Amino acid sequence: MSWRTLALDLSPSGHSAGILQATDLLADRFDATVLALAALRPVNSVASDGYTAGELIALEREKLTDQLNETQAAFWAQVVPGSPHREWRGCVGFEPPASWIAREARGADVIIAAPPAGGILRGASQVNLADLVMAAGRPVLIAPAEGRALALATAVVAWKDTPETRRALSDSLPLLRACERVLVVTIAPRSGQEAAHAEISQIGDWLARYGVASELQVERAHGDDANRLATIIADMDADVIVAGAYGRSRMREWILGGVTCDFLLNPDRCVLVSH
Amino acid sequence: MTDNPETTIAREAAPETRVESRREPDGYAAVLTHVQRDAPERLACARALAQRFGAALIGVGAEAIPPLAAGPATGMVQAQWIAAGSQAAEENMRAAREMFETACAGLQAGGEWQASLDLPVEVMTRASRAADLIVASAPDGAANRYRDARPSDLALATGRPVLVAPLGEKVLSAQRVVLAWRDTREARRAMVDALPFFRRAEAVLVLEVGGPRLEDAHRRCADVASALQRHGVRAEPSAVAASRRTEGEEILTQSWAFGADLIVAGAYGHSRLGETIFGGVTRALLSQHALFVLLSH
Repeated sequence: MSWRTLALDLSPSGHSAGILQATDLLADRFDATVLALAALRPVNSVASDGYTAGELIALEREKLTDQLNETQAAFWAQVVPGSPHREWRGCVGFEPPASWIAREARGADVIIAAPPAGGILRGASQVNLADLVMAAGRPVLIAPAEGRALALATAVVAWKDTPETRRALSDSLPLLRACERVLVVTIAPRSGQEAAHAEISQIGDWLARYGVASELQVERAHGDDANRLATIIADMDADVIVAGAYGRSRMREWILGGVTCDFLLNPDRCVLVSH
Repeated sequence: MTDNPETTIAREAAPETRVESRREPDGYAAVLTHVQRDAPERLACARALAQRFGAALIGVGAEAIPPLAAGPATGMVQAQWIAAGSQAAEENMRAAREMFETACAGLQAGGEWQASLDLPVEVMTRASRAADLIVASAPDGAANRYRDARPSDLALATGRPVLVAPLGEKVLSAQRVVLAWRDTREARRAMVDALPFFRRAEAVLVLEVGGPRLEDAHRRCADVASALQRHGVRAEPSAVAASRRTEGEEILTQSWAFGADLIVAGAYGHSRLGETIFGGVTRALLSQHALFVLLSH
């Protein structure tokens, strides 16, 4: 199976370079249809005391509609004539943007999104990435505007036996099959080394059934697992990380591949997460 | 809109692709089932699916010894209880293993046996990390968690799609399949999890039992159907208005009318104090004994 439909979340304006690069690469590779989505919500409707003047909301809606139109125009401007089927859907409304994106991406095999750009109020008007990952039922490929670009060269799977990681692994099969090199890494305490080796070799066998050759690595836990994982990823010069994700308290804390880390707040390469 | 799976296959076999990834698995690579001596139909169903998809069959033998009911039990009684219990459990598992080995004969991708004296749902959850599809069926009579892995618990615990076989010796054809659509995470999961079935089916009905605005339901079903078509699935959308029947009854009625023997649906539920609480549609689908149901959570 491969990825036939890619959805992009273009809601945050000005952070789409990584999304568009990844989309072009994947659309070309999989001959996929591209569905561009953008949802914006008036902030005043969320962060008000309930007595905000209707006029203010109307003004803000107008501003957001303009912003949406600009995003739409920019999307069409970069589409190469003759490229595979492309579609645009946008919305300015009061529904949480993440749930709108998750619904409209119903036909997508993967959703490509930018990492959240700081600011709590901004978060309210745009898609909350953690909410999107939780609601989508689809893998979300987080593509930063700067840093290592998606190249389908080296993928690192941060393995931890949770339903989320299993999901991430099945969800990423088309991606892993397209990558030249796949490393599955797990971090286990000293007493659990043997079990971790057994577990990870099962994963290697499962991947092999799908024609994915992988390298397996068990790391000993030293306390700072997030940093250890980050080092491995940097040493491998991976261009994409695959992990299961739990999100807690609105992106302030993520559990990724079993370790709490802030990769996703400021990633320097693509991360594919599933919940 | 391109609607041609062959294009992709050709692309993926292009020279720049590595030799190892040239194989194009179009389905489930490993099918997992809990093997019990009194449930030969379940094993037969899992074997048939493994054969159909060219998948490996993973059989699990699992049974736990129930704790002795609290009471004035002495250590001696406890020890005897455990000894007798584990002897019975081991005997059951030996019989299950024999059944499994017979079933694996002639199976293209082979079989793998895993056994453990532990709660079946836990052994199955561990084994499912290397499986793509779980075949389950409701136990005949009341479920006993020390002996049986209930389909609903598996759907929630494993993160894998669970095919629930109806009682009796029914054979799944999956030629006509219904996707019970709702715009939820679980249904979106089910849609992807069931793709190997969909791609082999002669017709797939994307069915939504409409809420207040039927035209919205139509649009959603059409959206899903065209995404499936891009995967080479013969899918057709169908939104029906809510009737006096419950949503679950309506889905079953429409599935009969369509001639389906498989319903694909999201499993709506959560675990609370060790008890699984399910939504109405999921309960309706689990309490009928005529059609196969594929559940994703």
